[in-house]
Amino acid sequence: MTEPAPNLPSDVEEAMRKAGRLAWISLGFQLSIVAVLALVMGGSQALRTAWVEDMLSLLPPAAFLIAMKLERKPATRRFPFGFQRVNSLAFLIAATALTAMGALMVYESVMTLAKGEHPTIGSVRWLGQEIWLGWPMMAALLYSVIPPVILGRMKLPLAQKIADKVLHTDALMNKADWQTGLAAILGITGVAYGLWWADAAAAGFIALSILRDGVNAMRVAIVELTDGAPRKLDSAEVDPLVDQITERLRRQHGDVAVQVRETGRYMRAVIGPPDTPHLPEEHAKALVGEDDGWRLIEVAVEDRQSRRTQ
Amino acid sequence: MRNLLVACLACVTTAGCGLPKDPADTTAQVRDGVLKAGLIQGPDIEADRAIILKLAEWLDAEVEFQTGETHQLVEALERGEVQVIGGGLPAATPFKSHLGLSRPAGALSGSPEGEKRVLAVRPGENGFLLALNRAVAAEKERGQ
Repeated sequence: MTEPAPNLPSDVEEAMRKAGRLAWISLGFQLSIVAVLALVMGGSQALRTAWVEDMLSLLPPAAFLIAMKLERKPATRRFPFGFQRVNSLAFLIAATALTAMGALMVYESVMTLAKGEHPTIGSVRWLGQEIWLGWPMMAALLYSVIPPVILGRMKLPLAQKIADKVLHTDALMNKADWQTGLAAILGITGVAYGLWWADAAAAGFIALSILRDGVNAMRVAIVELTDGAPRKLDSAEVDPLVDQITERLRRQHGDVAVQVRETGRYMRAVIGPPDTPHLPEEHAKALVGEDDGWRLIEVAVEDRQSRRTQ
Repeated sequence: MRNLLVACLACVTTAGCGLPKDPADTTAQVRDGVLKAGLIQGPDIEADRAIILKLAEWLDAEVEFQTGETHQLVEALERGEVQVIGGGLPAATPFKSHLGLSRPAGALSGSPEGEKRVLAVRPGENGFLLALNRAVAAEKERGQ
C-alpha cells in the first residue's frame, strides 16, 4: 500500500484553495506590470531594476503553484514518502529569487553611485507634445505598486494558516515589489529636480532590506533541506512546537530520543532509544549485507496508535 | 474633470513647472547666453545645424558652432566645452554610455541599414535634453 497525501482540516483545505487563487492572480498582475514597465523603461536605473525584479517575482507564485499541485499526489513506489518535500524545494527557489533580486539591486546602485553615472531620461511624443519620460514612468510605477501591497497583505495570514514558507516568501517578494516601486518613484522625482544620485540611492536603500529578507529565507530553506528542526515561518528560530512535541512524547514513552524535522508544511517526529543513536551494526548487516551495512542507519516503526489516542 | 486633466498635462508637458532640471545646470547656463555646439563633419551637418539654431532661439541664446571628429567632440562635451553635439551621430553610437541621446532626428546619411541620426547632450541633463527633443520634433514637423 502506498501512502496517500495527508488529509487536511477543512479550514486549511479552504485556505490552500484561496492561496492558490491568490498565486494565480499574482502571476496575472505581475505579467501585466512587466509589460507596462517595459513600455516606459528608459535610462532610469531604479526603473530597470524594478522591472528585472518584477520578472523575478514571477518565480515564487509559480513555484508555489507547482509545489502545491505535486504535493497532493499520493506516494509512489519511486517516491515512497510522497511529494511533501517539493514545498521545501520551492521555498529554496523562492528564497533564492528574493536574494538574487536584493543582491542585483545593491550591486547596480552601488556601481551607479560609484561611477557617478547621471541617469538620462528622455522624452516621448504624446498628443503632439514631447513629454518627459519620467512622468509616464511614475504613472506605470504607481500601477506596479498597488497590486503587490494588497496581494502581499492577503497572503500573510494564509501562509500562517497553511504553514507555507513559499507563500510567506512570496508575500515578502510582494513587499519588496511595492517598496522598490515606491523608491523608484521617489528616485525619479529626485532626478526631475536635478538630483542625479536620488534614483540609485533610493533603490540601494530598499535593496538592503530585500537582501536581508532573502538571505534569511534562504538560510531557513537550507536548514529545511538539511533536515533541521522545524523553523518558525518568519525567522530562523526553532519552532516552539518542537519542544512541545518532544516533551509530550517523552511523557508518553519515557526517556527517549526525539528527532523532529520538517518536510514542507508537515512535521515528522522519530522516537529512538536514548542510548543507541543508530541501528546496531549486526542488524544493519543482516538487512543490507556485509559491505553496505553501514549505509542503513535507521529503521523507524511509526506509532499511529498513540496519535489516535491523543 | 477634462479641464483638470488638460491643466495637469499642460503643467507637466510645458516647461512651466521647470521640471525636469539639469544636475549640471546646462539649460540655465545657456539661457540668454551662449549655446556652444559641436558638429561632426559630414553630410548631415546642415540638418542638425537647423535643430540647434531652433533650440538656441527658444533659449534666447547665441550659438557658437565648432566642427570636429566625433571622439573629439564627445570629449569636449564631457569637459563641458560644448553643450550639444550633432551632425551625423548614429543612434547606435559606440559613445552611447557617455552621452544623453536625443530622439531620432531623421535618417543617417550614407547608412545602408537605414540607421537613425541623433543629437547628444551630457548624460543626465534631462531638462536640456527635453528642450532639444522639442527642437528635434519642431524641425521634423517643419520638414514635412
